[in-house]
Amino acid sequence: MFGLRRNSFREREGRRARWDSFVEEALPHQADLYRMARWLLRDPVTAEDLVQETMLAALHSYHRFEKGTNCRAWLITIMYHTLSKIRRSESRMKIVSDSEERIAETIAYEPPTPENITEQEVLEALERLPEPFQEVVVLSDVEDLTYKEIADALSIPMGTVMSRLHRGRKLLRAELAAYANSLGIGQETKAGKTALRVASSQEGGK
Amino acid sequence: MKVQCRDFRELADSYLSDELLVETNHDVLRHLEACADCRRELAARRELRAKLRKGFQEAPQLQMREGFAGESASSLRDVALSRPPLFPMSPTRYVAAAAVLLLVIALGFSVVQIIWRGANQPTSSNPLLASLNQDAAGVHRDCALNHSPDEKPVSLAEAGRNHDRAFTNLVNAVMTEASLPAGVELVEGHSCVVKGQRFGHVILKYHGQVVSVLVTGLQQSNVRPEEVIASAQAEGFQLAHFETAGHAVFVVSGLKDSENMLLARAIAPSVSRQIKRAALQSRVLKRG
Repeated sequence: MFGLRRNSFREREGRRARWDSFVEEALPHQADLYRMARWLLRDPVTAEDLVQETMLAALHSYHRFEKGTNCRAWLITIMYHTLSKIRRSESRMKIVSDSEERIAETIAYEPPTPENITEQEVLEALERLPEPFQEVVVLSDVEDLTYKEIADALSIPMGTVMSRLHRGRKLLRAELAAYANSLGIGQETKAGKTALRVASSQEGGK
Repeated sequence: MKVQCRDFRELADSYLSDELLVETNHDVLRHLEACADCRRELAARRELRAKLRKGFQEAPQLQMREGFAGESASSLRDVALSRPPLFPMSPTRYVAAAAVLLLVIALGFSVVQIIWRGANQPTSSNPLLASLNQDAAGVHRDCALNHSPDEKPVSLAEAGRNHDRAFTNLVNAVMTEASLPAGVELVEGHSCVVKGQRFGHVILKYHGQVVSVLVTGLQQSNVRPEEVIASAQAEGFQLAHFETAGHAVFVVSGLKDSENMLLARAIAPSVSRQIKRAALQSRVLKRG
């Protein structure tokens, strides 16, 4: 009986220590997760659900987390896995379509990166990119994940991450150049015109 | 590698992300020292990235609502500190799991029963073969072990001439023509009668145990499919038996089933050949 009590005491202490560690390592990233979730889902309620599901899954598998590694990347990976499960169950998994790949390919010229644009305008331009390109750009340039971490999170090969990132950034610059040109900021270039066409064709397609 | 402005535009983002190889990094730096346009482009991209990050992190629509972090942490805490449930699945799942388990057990039981019945079918379902099994075990006990058959045994040659031609070359079929495992020794070959049934009897020794190979003519043949060797137990002995050309052949011993079966499989082809040969000779002689 005393043995049982001792065991239950130990279990309780173990659970407490695990929770304390989780609070220290994982909880601080909740806001980052929410931003990602909100960006991906466009809806605050489902974003909250996704974050909660992600944190719960992370808590259950916290014993697998290696201390000293990037906890945010680990959480983002869990979030993407959770999201893909939800999307699978809703049968609306997002796949990069040929046309989206072609849009990225049409940016044949490298436009100079526009200056004098606001953060809001950058975000709006990002939002106009096809979703798979948005994802990698955000994970890399905002969340600071490495190619490997992005590949793990999205369950895609590292080469795909690199090519999507390259195209995504190029497309973003083209979008911004087109936007800047439309406002008469800077010189109108051939690339700017191309990007404008792309942007307008996307608008038309929506 | 000499980096041109066009190359630089391709490499600039990887340079900013610190993902370039050290050598390429040096090449880029060398180019930047000499090219004001690319320095400006790099600065613009760095600024763009900073704006993207800041815009993303500070966008009002992407901020958590007040209270969500607390609510979430509180519910997570409850989960983390509570005892894991004794039954973590829903009751329906337990019922389903139990049903599946029962089904598997029932199926397993049926399979075992079918196999067991298959192996022991003659003893349980065929009274003739069950009785012959008993007789064979009796011959082994009375003749091979206790040396007290009903009648004085006669030689296989004599029995072959007077009773059943199949007995004639039985020792040869067992000891010479069969591929016996090492360590099998011949003790004796004769023909004996137990309960009125005549047997050709070859006594062997294997692994320190006395083994009887018995052949007897059947009044009613096809008690089981030809050449199928089955195992059974009778009077505490292990039996392996098969039927061929109107004869039943038994291997009886105190060995394990696997060893007894091994011997039966070894002698079956040559003994079967010998019995068929004898049957053919008998038919030819009858016609003559």
